[in-house]
Amino acid sequence: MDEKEKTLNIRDIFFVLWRYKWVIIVLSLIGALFMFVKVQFLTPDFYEADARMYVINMDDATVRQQGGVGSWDIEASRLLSSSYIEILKSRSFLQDISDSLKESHGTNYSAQQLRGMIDVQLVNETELIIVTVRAGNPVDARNIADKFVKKAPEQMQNVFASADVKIIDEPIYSSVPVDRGVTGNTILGFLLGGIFGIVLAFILKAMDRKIHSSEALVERYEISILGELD
Amino acid sequence: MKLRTKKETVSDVDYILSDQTNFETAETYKTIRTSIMFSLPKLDGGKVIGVTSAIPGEGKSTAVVNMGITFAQMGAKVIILDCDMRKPKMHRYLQIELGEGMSNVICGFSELKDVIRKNVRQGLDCITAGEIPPNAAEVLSSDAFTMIVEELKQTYDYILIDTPPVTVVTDASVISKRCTAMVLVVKNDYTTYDMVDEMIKRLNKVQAKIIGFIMTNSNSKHNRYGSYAARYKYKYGYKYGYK
Repeated sequence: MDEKEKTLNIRDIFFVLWRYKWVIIVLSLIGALFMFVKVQFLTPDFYEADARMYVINMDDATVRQQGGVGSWDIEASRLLSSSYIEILKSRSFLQDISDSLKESHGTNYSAQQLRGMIDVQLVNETELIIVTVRAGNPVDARNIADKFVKKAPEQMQNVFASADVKIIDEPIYSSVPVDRGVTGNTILGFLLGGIFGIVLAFILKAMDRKIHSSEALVERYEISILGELD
Repeated sequence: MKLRTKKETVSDVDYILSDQTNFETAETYKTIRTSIMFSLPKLDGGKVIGVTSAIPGEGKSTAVVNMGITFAQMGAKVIILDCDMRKPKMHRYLQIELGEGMSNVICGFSELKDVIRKNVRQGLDCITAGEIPPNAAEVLSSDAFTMIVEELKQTYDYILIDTPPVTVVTDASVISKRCTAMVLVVKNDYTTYDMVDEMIKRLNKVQAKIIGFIMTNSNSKHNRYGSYAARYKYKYGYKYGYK
């Protein structure tokens, strides 16, 4: 028997979703439950400490002496901002912070770990850099952020002699953990489960070789239906 | 107030046509009867209709018994034969003893007239499967079976034969050679296309004349004969001034 090419129209799609609705619903609920349990009970608390720095490239010694900033300095700083960020995320700088933390506070974070904990972002249309540190306890988060901003000027000047770093916001101690977003993640889990359920529904439909209507039977075999019984 | 202590179950007998059967089901069987009658060639003597399915559990035996009852209702002489000698069921549906039947007659242990159960339902006769033989396919392919069918054709207008599933054993293919036509029972949401492909392939191999499908477990609105009939009657009556 020839297999006729069959396309799915909107009605067919609806019927597939309706037929496998319990698969979709159950997987959505499983997804939501999984995310809820994961975020609520299995994800540890973490704390954030952040600081803001202003980095300016002072090319003109005379302007610098006078404490002023020229328009070219501002423009140069903006153009170099991405470079500043990369410099501050470099392995050597993070290793330096790691060594310093060990010495002063006895905390043991490797450069690799610090790379995952520290986020350095540029504020759009400005020369401001925000440093955000995420750690398992608020003290560590604050200490790391503090070390970072203290060592940043020296690191910047090692690379750009004319760079000047000013701390705008010092890192502060936060005793409240960051919101883990239980509700949002649960909803996300529900949606992801639902999407997976829909995909699975179509896979099951494709694999389903059962007869579901007399019309399909007649169309395939060209043999009439004598009658249909409940 | 009666406490329900165990789950009520539906037995096979509940599916057999009776005074309690709903209008839609009864009318559907009449429709099947009409369709079959118009599909059969004009022949002298009885017409032999084989009923089979691809796999067990599709409602084949129930359909045979009910079709027999329906054919008998129109005044025809009808007999149903249970040729599923491996798992006979007809005697259960008709609530009669298995006793001696087809296998006994074919093998020469009984006379045909002795195994015919008269009027199991109004106007309907039947022959049960009889004792289960070890070689059912050989028994059914014997000349004796052919002669029995030919003899029954002299007496009855319609002979309905309940056969085993086609894809399970070869019995149905063997029986189909003695049949005027074959009816295939397919169960909705149960039978697969692959099974039906195989069933038709095997029947085509023996050049069986397939006249149609009966679909069981159907959820189609087309089997709502009651509402369809009401609409048809209204339309017909309106057109011809029926009051």
